Amino acid sequence: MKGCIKTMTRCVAFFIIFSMIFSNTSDYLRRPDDESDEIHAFYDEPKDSIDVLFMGSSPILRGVSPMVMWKQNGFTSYVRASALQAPSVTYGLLGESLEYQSPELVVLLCDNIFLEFDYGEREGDLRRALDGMKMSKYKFQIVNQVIAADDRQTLLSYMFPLFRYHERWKEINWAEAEPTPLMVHSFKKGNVYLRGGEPQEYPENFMEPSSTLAPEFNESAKDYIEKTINLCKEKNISVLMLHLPKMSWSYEQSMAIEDFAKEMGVDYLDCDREEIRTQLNLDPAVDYYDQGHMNLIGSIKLSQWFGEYLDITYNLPDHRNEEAYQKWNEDYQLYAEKTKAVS
Amino acid sequence: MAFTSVQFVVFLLLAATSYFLTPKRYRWVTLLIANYIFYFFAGVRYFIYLLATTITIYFAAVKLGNISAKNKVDFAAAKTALDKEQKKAWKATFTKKKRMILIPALLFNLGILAVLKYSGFVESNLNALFARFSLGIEMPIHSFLLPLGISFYTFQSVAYLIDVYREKYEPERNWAKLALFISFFPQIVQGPIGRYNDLAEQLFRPNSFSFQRVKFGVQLMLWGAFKKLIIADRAKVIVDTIFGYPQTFGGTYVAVAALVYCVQLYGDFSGGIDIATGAAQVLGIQLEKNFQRPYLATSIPDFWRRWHITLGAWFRDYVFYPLSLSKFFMKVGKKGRKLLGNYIGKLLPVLIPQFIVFFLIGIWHGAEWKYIAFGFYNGTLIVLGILFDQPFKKLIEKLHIRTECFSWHLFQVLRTLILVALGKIITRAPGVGASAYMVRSMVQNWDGNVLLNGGLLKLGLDIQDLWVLFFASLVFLTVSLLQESGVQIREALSKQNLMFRWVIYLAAIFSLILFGVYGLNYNASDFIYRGF
Repeated sequence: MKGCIKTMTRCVAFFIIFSMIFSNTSDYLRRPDDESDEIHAFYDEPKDSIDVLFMGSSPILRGVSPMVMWKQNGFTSYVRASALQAPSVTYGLLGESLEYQSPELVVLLCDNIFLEFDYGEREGDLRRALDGMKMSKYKFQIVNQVIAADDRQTLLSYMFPLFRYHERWKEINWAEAEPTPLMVHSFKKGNVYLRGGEPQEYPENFMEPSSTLAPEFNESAKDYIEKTINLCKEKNISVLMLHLPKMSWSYEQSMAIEDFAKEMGVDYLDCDREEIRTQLNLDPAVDYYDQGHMNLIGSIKLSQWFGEYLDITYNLPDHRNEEAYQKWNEDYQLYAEKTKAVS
Repeated sequence: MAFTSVQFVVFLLLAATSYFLTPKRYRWVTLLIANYIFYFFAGVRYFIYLLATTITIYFAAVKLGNISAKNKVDFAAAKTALDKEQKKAWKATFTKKKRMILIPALLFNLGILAVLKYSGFVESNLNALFARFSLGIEMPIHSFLLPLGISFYTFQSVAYLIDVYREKYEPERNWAKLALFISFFPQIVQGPIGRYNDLAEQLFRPNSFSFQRVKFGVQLMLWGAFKKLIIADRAKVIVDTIFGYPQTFGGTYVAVAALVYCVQLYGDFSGGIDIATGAAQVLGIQLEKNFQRPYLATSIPDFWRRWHITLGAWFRDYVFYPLSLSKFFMKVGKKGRKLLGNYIGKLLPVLIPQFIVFFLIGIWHGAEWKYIAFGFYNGTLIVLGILFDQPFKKLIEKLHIRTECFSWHLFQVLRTLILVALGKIITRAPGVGASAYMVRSMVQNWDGNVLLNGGLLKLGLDIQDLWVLFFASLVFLTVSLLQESGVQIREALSKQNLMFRWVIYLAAIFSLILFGVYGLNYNASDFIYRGF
């Protein structure tokens, strides 16, 4: 018996040492990524403290600033988005988010309803979201789909990203290397803004009706967006389907999504529609990073208008003077400092 | 379920836990269930072949056992009344009866293997022959996916049946126990080929949990994974690059490829065997040794005694001896002495069966001409070795060459390694013609500068990977030399202080995690011998 206890103790001690080295090595070899960090920092928000969740891919990640909305309107929000986020990931990410928060509104960017998502080709994009997520049944479900679609990928590499990034030891200058664990708290609340950018111009006849038919919805994407909306309905959360400004968009696509939103019984807002564009007053030469994304100037401009729109439309609460939300004011100070040159 | 996959680790963990938690009396049943689950993972449709082998071998062995038992009783009762001739006739009838059981069972089981493995090869060659003589016949070419481990479990089963036929031991009368012996999951994939008298008792007895044994088993598995994932799969990149484009690379590259392929093949195969042996050890079962530092062999026969030992032993016991000691080859020997003289004639019953054995070893590796060429190459080397053994010894004596010193030993090792490497070129090159071209280019197109001017960096591995391959191979060589000098690595390690041991364990684990060739950036490669 004594020998057995000694053996068990040694095994536990060995496992602890192994885990510590494993964790530290993972932090050294992790592919540093702002989007994964922002997705992960979500867990630091106090339970049930977020009023609005923004879900979807890069336009919402780059274009919506929860901090601007906080300063202007006082409601709390978080962007849980990542570049080219697959609708299946959005669904899982939302499911997981709702375990931590009970928002009044979910804003769903759904341009990807037209896209076929290739899990094999888009491994990098998948990882931006999944590497930031804690292990949960939602992450497990997403990974299972990924593995089913691409047998080169493994559950283990998503549970422990070191098994994916293990060969990065070759890229690292060990003399200067530092561990880069996932970010714990974010002052940007999920927004990953872009500075600078190229001056843009709207294409000819932009958002004007044409004889071209809208592309078909991707069946899988549509299914997941439906599931996402139904999940919100089950939890009595309002849903706003959203399209943010980008140059490669058409009137027909906009109408197709509007019809879909009507069918699903949710709101739809298309920021490329003429009347919204007029209100937004975006300058393509200044406010865009590239054809599909706002830069920091554009995101602030857009967030100011959009915050006002959400506040009025959904009658969101104002927490700015509440004791429990003082950390948001501190975070805003940091945000303002970092974006000072622009705002 | 690859041995280096997480699924296998989880499977082994579950199998071992279930095994040790099962009441002692039924532990072998748990093991059988684990074997069949493992085999199911490989593909349900292949299960029928395993089952067919198990059933036929079981019934044939039991029938042979019954015939022998009845014969013993009958013969004991009748022998006093029989004269010498009658006893001889009795024995002949008895042998004939047994052969009536043995031969169909062998034909059935080896037939399955032959059809699945060689029918496509035979058909395509017949078609080529028909076309050459413009016969206008074209046979359909069949291509079958080989059931997991078919060569290994067939050879293991056939050996058991022949041993029962030879009355080496009694047949197993419990069908499920025989099924366990044939399907033991760590060894079914790529061996080692077990013998019933070594393995059965270990499989059927209720092995108890031993922390020390489990630890040794896991250590061996880690070492196997080190050889496979860090060395073999990294070496594979260079090997594939050069052998994939034999016309592009000159003789120096071919030499590098041959050497690196030797490392890859040994790392791959012995790595897999170490994982299998370690996994079996976790369950309390000691598998037979399959390698004994083959690249330290001093001659080709010595190499074959150290490389894939259980396959060599199988061919020795079930092909070579029966052929060599057969009446036919005795007659050949007698005739040979008359025609070719005493020296060669005496050797004929050894030389011809040796040649046949290596021909069979060649085609065992695959249904391609290059494997047949490989068999002939090795057979020729062995035969020449035997024929020129005495003249060579005389020459050494005349030249006053010291043979009891390190330099002579080193010469022998390097000579054998070069011959082995040349043989590996035959099996790895795309075809016999390509291998001939590559060997020729080693002589005609040699440029040592490519080793110094960055030529090695053009082979698919960057400088860091080359260093990892170099250092890992160095570790491999050091361990081999220590083992050759009699050091028991795991036992020696277990006598060290705890901290030292843990540093070694952690270094081994993290070497695997960091330097192992796995994941999305690499093409996962299966064990080479799994394909045989």
